[in-house]
Amino acid sequence: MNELDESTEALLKAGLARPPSEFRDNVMQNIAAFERQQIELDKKNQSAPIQSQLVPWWQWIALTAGGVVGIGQVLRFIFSVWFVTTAG
Amino acid sequence: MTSDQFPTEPDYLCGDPVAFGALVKRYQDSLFAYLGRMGLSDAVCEELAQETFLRVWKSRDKYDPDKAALSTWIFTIGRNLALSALTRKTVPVNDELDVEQYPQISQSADPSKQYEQHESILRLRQALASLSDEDREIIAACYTPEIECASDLLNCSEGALRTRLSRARKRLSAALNKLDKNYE
Repeated sequence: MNELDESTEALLKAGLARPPSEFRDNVMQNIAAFERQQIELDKKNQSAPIQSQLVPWWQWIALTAGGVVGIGQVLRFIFSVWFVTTAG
Repeated sequence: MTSDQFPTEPDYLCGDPVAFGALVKRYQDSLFAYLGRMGLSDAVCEELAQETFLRVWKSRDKYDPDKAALSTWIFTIGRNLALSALTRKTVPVNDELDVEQYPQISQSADPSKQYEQHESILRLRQALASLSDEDREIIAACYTPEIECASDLLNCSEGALRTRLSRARKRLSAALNKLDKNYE
């Protein structure tokens, strides 16, 4: 271990970077922000099951209403064809 | 728990922010020094140290005291982040030093001595940056007293570590000599 001079040794031991004075506060702020984000995510995840129960209910209504309208259109077409052929 | 008390591992593992703040205070200097020895600039050191502590907080439940000492675990996270940053190859090395953060510079009354010390730090940083990632991490780990077992951190035997450190120091010395010749 004798290739490096004393001043280089001293610099290596002391380290070449120092934290700024507000470093710890910045870390704690980041952690607080991360925790807030986690709480919001948890809230969203908790409310998600209620939404998933509501979605099928509306889907069934939409499907039924759409089905009734669709069948009505098909019947209307059949009757209009029958009417035209019998009238002719 | 007050912020002046030293955190014990159970406090830290419980996720007590005050204990964690004390933990940051305890390891921040050595982590910065470690990252600086990897040849990284002040700005990059700060970014990586922030990320290290955030990851330590996020994965505190995964820490197993039977597998590694707390300091080794923290420095392993820091090391992995530093190596990823070095492989990106866009890491600035020779930015300006914030002199206020270096007591060995700011406490010196003689301006010429201050300048000399400032230049020594930049020169050493430049020489470290010219080394391979492997050499840098060996020097960084072996000069950090908080890393209780550098061979564990680097996954090698004590004998291999001594050989690798000796080679890395020789290469650092050569890099410093080369820089000196370029200046002359």
